[in-house]
Amino acid sequence: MPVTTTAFVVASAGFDRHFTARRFLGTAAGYGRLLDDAPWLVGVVLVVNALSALNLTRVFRLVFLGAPQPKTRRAPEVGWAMAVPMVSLTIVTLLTPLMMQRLSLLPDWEYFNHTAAFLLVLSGVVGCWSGATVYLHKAWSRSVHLPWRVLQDLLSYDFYIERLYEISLVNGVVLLARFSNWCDRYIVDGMVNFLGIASNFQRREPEVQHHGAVSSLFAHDYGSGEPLGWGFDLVRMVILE
Amino acid sequence: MLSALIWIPLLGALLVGFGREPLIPARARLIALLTTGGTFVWTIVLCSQFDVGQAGMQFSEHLTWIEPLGLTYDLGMDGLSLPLVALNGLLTTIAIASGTPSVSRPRLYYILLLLLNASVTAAFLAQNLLLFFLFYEVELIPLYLLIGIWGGANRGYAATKFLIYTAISGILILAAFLGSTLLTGASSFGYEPLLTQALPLGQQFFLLGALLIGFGIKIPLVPFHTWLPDAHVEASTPISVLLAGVLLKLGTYGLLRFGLGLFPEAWAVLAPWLASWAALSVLYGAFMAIAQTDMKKMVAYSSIGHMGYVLLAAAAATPLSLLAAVCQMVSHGLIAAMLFLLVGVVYQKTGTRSLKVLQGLLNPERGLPLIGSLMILGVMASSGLPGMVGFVSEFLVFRGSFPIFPTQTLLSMVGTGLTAVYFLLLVNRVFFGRLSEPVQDLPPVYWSDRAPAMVLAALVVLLGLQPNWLIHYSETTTATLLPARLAIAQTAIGGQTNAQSRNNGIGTCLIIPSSDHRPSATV
Repeated sequence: MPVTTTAFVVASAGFDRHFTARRFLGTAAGYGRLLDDAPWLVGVVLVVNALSALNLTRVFRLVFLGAPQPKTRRAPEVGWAMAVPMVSLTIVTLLTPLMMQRLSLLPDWEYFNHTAAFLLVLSGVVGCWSGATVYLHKAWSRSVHLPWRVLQDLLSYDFYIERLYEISLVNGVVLLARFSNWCDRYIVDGMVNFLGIASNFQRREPEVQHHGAVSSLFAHDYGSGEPLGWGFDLVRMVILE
Repeated sequence: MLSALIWIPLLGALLVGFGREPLIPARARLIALLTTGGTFVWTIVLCSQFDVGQAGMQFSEHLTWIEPLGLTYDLGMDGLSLPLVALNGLLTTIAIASGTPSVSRPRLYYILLLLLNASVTAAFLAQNLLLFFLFYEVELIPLYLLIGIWGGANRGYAATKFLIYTAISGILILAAFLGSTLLTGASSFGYEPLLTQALPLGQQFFLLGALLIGFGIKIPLVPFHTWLPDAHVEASTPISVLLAGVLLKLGTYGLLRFGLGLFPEAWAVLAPWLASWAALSVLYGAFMAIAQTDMKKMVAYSSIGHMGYVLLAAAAATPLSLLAAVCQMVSHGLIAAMLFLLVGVVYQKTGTRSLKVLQGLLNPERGLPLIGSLMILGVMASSGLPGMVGFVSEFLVFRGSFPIFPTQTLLSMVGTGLTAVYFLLLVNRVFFGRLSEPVQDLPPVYWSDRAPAMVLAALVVLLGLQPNWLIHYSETTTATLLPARLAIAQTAIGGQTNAQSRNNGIGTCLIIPSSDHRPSATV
């Protein structure tokens, strides 16, 4: 899958380069100051950069390199509908620095922070090297020690944000929706239907006595529980009388 | 010129009615289509001649009808009524085109549809209170019969409930109109804001209250809404399209034209309560929609929520928010009609609307991929995603209302978020996943099934990308609607002998709410 492989390499490099370039250039002045004011934050940036390089390199190594597996032996290249946007975006990713330069969106070289550049390149190289060489044993993916398992779960489930969201917001909305539905069915609509039925029962006796054949039709309707009868009766009561 | 919009459909109804026996359904449908299509084309011609810079009524027509009753045949069109008349013409044509060609009792069916079209157009154009009421009531009869005869299994109940609710709405509106005329001592039912604004504020509250409940039933606003989901569920697809697309707009149009137009002082005092009512309707409609398992009922409840935005914008009553109210009416008309059409196709092909049964309809080979794609586009537009007309109207509503009623606007914004929730639930359950067993062998979907929804989808996107085509017709009218009324009211109040005492009480509420003046400070 040459097109997919190329696109993945360019996108990974572009992602890491974008991350690095932003630190180098976009916020170079701020980064320099950050180095003096809060060095621990710089450490966070370097660790994140190294980890992203490690992960992307590791995924590339595991998916695209090495001996073909039974399921990948005959993997065909993607169809044109997917290949065209992939190749287009690959080209755009490669040309973005040039476009930024043409549009004068890049800061001057005098703002270039050499220490920051060195540290970021170093963290990227360390990340790539680790991703390309370190073998993560399957046993490591699930520790037998409870504290590690808790930490692993905490990180792998994104601090349980989805679960928290489900318990709090989603459940709240569902409960409110059910409550509204109950109110609508039994209170708002229930009251209207009750009024209609009550008016029917109130008027049933005189109708039968005074209106002969017509009233017997309505009496039949009440008996069979048809809402049409009380509806017409209510309309007649309100509008005609 | 305006009379043609009313008389062409009536002529069409006569042609269908007196057509040779036996009447072929396809011929009746063709006559109805040509009639409504012709009316719509005539509306476009009027649009091209409409002077967008003029705030008042255009193409006015006057004819004395029943003088002792004060009933005159006064018609007029301004930036408030023009988009709604055009919407009515378009949606009636689409409703007829989307209906089954072999409908039972075609003569009566198409006559009723054409009568509905004519009466709704006439109500939008009427400049006499009694004339408006007459057409507002006339419109009930065809709609009642269209639901009651061609509806679903429980159509009798739904049609009767609709009739009772809307008849009560009509009684309240008539009471308000009669009260206005009697209290002002006017000799006719002519639309004269000058007279109503000279009434004491207490009387204005009473009359406006009757109008608010009357039109609130029609819109519908919570808690007067329960007729709508039943009517939608039981009505056939073309009737649902007209009900959501046009008929609910009679309520919001009435509120703007008669509630705000005749009683701006009382409106200004009640505005915070109206905004809260709107926010309640928006949230209630959204929560109710989440709880539904019937696709049509979900779209019906979403309509209740979305019509709340119109009341919010009307309550704020700034030039921008009034423009937003008109935009929201048109936008909701197009989007709701499109959604009902698509739900109708799903129901026609699968035999069910239940979210518990339907699944995987986006399947490209055995499902309804194009209908599913259009539905996704429709729900995106309804959720207010940029690039579609729903975004433009909702953004205008929030932009126009937020400076006046920030809390209520924020609550309504939550309603927009909830819209995305229930529509994503719908799309996720019905269109994604594996095609469910009960809907495996679906009948083919023809272009006649797709085309009506595609036309509306194109309009939804087109007006989203080029909203000026929609708003420039209404901009002048909405910009001058309230200031003109308030100027009239100030003149009227100035003429009173007890002007001083009145000004102490209500004169200050005549200050137009704007971004710099909140009602809490001015009322």
